[in-house]
Amino acid sequence: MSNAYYIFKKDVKSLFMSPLAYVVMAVFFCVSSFLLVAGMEEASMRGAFGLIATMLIFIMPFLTMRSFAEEFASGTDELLMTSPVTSGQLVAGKFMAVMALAGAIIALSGQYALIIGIYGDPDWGPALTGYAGLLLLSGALASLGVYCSSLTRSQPAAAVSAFGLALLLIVIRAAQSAVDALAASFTGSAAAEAVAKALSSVLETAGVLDHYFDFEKGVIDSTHVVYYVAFILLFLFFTARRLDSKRF
Amino acid sequence: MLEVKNVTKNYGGLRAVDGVSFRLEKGEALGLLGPNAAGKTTLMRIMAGYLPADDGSVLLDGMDIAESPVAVKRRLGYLPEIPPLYNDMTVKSYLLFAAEIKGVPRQSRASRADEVMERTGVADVAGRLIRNISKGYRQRVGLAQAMIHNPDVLILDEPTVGLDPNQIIEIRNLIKELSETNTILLSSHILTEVSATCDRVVILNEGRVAAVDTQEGLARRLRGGDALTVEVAGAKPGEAAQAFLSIDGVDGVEPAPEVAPGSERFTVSCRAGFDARGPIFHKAAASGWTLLELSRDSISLEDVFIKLTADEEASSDE
Repeated sequence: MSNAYYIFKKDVKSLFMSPLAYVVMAVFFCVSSFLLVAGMEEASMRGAFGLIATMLIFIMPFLTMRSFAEEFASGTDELLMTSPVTSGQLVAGKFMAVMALAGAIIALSGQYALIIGIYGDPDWGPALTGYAGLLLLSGALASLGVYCSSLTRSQPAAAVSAFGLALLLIVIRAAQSAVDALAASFTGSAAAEAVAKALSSVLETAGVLDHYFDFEKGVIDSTHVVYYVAFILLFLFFTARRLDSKRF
Repeated sequence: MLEVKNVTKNYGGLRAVDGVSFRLEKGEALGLLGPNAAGKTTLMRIMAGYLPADDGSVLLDGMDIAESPVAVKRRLGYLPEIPPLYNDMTVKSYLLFAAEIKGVPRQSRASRADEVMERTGVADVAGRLIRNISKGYRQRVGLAQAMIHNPDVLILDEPTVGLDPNQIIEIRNLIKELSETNTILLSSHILTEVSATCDRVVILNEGRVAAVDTQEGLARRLRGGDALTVEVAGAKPGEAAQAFLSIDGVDGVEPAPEVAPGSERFTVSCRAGFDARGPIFHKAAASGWTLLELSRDSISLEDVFIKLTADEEASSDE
C-alpha cells in the first residue's frame, strides 16, 4: 500500500502548491461566513453545517477535476500507468489526496464552532456527529468527482460532469412521486407494480444529501454510514475499472 | 528476453499494429524504424503496458505483461514520446517520486537519483523546476526517469526528437553507453539515428513488420549494388557514358538531369560491394575530362521503404 501513499504525497503537494486550492478555500470561507453571519438565529452548529454541506457540493468538483484529467492531458499518466503500481493503489492515493484537502477545509470550518462556542452554549454532541457527516458527504462527492476526472482529459468537463451528477443524485428523490403515480396506474400487472415499487424505494434512499441530515441532528444511523461508505467504494471501484480498461 | 508475439491493435476501424512479432535479445540494442504513423508509438505503449493489445502478447522472460503487469513493469523502463514530467516539481524531487513508484528501496532512492542525474547530465539543474528547463534537459530527465530503477529493458520512444544537433549527439552517446549494460529498444524515423546506436533493426510499415535484420544485412539486402552520381565536363556527347560502362563492375549508366550546360550527369549503378569511384576518376582523368562531381548515393529511409514495400508487393503477387 506504500504505492498509494507515494501517489497521495505527490498529489497533496501539487494540490497545496497550486493557487486553485487557495482560491477554492477563499471562496468557501467568504461565502459561508457571509451566509452564516447573515442568517444566524441561534447559537448552534445546525445552520453552519447546512451551509458547509451546500458549499461542499459546489467546491468539491473543483478539487477533484484535476485528479486524473490533468495527468491524461500532460501525458504524465504514461509514467503512472507504466510503473509497477496497480489501478487500485493509484485511485486510493488520488482519492486520499482530495480528501486531505477537503478535510483541511472542513477542519478550518471549525472556527465557526469556536466562535459559536465563545458566544453561546451549543450542544457539542451534534457538532461532532455533524463533522462526521460532512466528512462522509465530502468523501462521496470526492469519489464521484475522481471518477468523472478519470473519464476525460479536460478538467472543465470533469468538474461540470461531477457537479451535474452530484446535483442529480441530490434531487433524485423528486422522481419518486412520478414513479409512484406510475405504480398506481399499473393496478393490472403485479410484476410491473413490484418493479415500480422497488424503483420507488431505491429512489427514496438514493439521495446523496438525504443521508446527511441525521448527522446534523446528532444522530448516527448505521444505514447512513453504510450508504456513504458503499457510495465511496462503488465510485472508486468504477474509477479503477476505468483505468484498467485503458491498460492492463 | 522480451518477446512480442503477434501483437495487434485497432483504433476504431484503423489497424494501427497488425500481427507484429519479434524478439529482443538480452544485451542488444534494437532499433524500431518506421515512418510517422507506422505504429511505432502504439507498439511501444503496448510493450510498456500502457495500452492493452487487442490480440497477441508481450512476454518478458516468458512472463506475460497482461497477466503479471506489476512484476513485468518493475523490470521495464519507458520513455514515452513526450517525457512524462510534472512541471511543478524540481528535477530531483521528480526523480525521487519516480524512484518511489518504481519500487526502488527507500535507502537507495537518493543515491539512484544522484547516479542517473550524473549519467544523463542533468545534475546541474537538479534543483530547478521542470517547468523552467530546456527541451534538451526535459528529454534527459525523461530518460533519467526511465533508468531510475535500473530496469533490465529500456523502451525509448523517439528519444532525440525535437533536439538540436548537439543534444542529439549527447543523447546518442548516452544511449550507446547504456546499451553496453542494458537491453534497449529504440524507435526512430531517422535511419542514421538507428545506425548510430543499434545492432539490429525492425522496420515497421503500416503496422506490419517489413523487415528484421542487422545493419549490415539490411544494407546488403537493400543495395544489391551501389549507385554513384557522376558529373563530367569536356566529354563529347555519349562518350563518357560509354567509357564508364566499359569499367568492369559497372552495371549501368543512366543519364541524370543536367545542372549546367556543357556538362553531363549520370547515375552509375555498380555491382554489390564494388567501389567504382577510383576507376571512374582515372577514366575521366585519362580522357582529359573534368570531374565535377563524384558521390555515393546514400541509402535513405525513403529508399528502404520503397524497396521493402516493393519487395512485399512483388512477393504477394507470386
